[in-house]
Amino acid sequence: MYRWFLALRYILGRPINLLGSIGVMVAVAALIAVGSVFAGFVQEARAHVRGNSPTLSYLDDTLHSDFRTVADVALADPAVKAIAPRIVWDALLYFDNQIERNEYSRIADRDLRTTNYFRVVGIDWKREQEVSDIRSWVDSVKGPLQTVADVDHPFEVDADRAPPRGDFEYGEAGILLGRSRTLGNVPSIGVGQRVKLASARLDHGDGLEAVTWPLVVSGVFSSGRRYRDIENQTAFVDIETLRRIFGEDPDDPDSREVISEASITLHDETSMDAVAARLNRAMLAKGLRGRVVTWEERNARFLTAVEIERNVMRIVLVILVIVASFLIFALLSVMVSQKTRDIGILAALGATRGGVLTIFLTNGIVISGIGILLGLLLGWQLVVRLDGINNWLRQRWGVGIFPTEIYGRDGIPSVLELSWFVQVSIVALAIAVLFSFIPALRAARFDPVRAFRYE
Amino acid sequence: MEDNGPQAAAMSTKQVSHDALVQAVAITKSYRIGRREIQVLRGVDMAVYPEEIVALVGQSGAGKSTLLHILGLLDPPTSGEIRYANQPVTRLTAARQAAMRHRHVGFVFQFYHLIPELTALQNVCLGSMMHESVFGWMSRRRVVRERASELLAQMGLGDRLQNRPSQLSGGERQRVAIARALIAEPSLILADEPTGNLDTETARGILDLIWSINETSKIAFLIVTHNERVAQMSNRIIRLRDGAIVEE
Repeated sequence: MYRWFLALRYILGRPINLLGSIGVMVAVAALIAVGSVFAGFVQEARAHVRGNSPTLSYLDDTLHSDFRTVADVALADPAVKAIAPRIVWDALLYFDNQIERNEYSRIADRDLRTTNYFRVVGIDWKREQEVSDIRSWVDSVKGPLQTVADVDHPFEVDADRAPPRGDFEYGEAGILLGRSRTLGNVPSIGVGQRVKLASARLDHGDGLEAVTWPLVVSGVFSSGRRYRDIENQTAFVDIETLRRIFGEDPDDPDSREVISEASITLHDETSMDAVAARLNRAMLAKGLRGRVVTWEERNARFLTAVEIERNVMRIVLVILVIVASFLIFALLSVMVSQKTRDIGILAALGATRGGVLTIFLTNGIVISGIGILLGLLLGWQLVVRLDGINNWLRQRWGVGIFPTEIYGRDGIPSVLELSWFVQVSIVALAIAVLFSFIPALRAARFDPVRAFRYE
Repeated sequence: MEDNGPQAAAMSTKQVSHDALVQAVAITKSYRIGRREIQVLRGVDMAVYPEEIVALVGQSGAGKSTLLHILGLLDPPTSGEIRYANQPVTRLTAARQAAMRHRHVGFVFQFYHLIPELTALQNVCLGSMMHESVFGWMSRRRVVRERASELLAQMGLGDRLQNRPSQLSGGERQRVAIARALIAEPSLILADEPTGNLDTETARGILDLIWSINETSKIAFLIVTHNERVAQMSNRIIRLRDGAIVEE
């Protein structure tokens, strides 16, 4: 009984113990707040990546795969719901009018965009609608220079809105640009804008051959997502346009339907790993060179980087808890030094070494426990009121802890995860116990006679 | 001074006495400081019998306090044996020794050694908590508190129960320390210079208290003292010189 009684009395009788609790509280609150914000970011990043990636992708950068064969293999699997072909190609897009280019560049500079580099994605409009939200991306954009003429044929150019002019030879092939690229506030860049695509392709001698292709902006799309990297980096064209660039003639019934990838959706996404493995075996059996990957595998580098960042952040914050625990270590060490006489008299009264250890260990655990509880509460409140705090700091002091405009958000993303609260509590308590144990052990091993010998 | 008859006759020193509360048999104690070995006790044989008051006298450095700590199982001897109620206790585990100490012996020190965070009443109750479980304590709490209050009242501290040590005088603190030693109902109290830190008047009061407790409760006392007058009041005097008993 004496161990609990004395531990409690020592805690209540030494207000300086509050300092240790405050240290742990601050560290735990930081762990909770930063961890929750990071979890919010990670969740958004994953959702964003997931939104941009089909459940499964068939990838073949060599452009040797024929879509008809790939589709036959994929659709033979009952788990596959739909498949759509794609050719993804990197290119530079040039706008024909010097003034407009300058206009674009000026605004581009303001937005820190210095090149006209695009990921040009060739899609089969009808099939693409079965695997993505592309139709709503196009249909949702309204405006005189942004709306497609016919949402069922978005790559067809309205001749009235694209009068031929200048010294370029323009074809009739349309291209869909993202809303931020077309810069809706600059009327001259929009539907009807002439564009020259510049890239390179393999020539018949396995060398690189420069290629340019005339296009006309046929419409504007918007993913409606918070991050506009699709709008900023991607342009859609009819897949047949890209096939023509690569030397295929889509009008020839014997020509191959070349693809660089195919998007595959499933009836049940939870089985994607098993389906991917099955499809890979089937593709290989058909002599196809490409590989089927899940959306997680395809974005593994990014997702792993995010996870590593998260873990590094956790390590840094755990170091904060260790620093706070040093405070408890110091407090208990001082306390043990001051209490040598008490240790002596306790031994004289019949206390055991284990009892003395328990008294000081309990002190450390209770001081830390109070700090952890208060830290959890403070961290929770910080997360709940993060936007308010950020706004107040901006209004009052002109500084923001989170520049919302950079991330295109109204608020700071955060997720309160019970598992994170539990993990933080366990880690903080374990560290505190470890740091309390050292001075407590010193107290337990203290020779009681020394307390009386030097008086 | 009262003669305790058979006890005062003292035992043949190296024989085991079946009557002794605590007995030291051929106790030696040495410390090593660097390469130098200091012999503090050199084959001490002694015993304390029920109901007697024994004075342990000697010059500074004679080994009085060391012997007291060894008898109280706070310090292990280099060689020799300590027996409590005729049972050897030197080789018991630390936990068993702690239990024996709690059951048989009470301590009173020159500098009182009260826990400053506790009130006088709590300091006394602490002496009864040592080998009590939480539930055991909860069931006995009222009885122990009443007994502690009673003891403090007997010491003339009935109105100081809730005072902390810092609010008490030296004499009052020593009375609390004596009450703390008594609450566990030991058969022997080891007192190390109990009046060494007190003025003459207060010291006389403490000594009167000790003799009164001895008379009423029949608890034996082994008192380490420099004070020849205290020694003369005792039933028996053991004189230590250079770690050996020179007179008993």
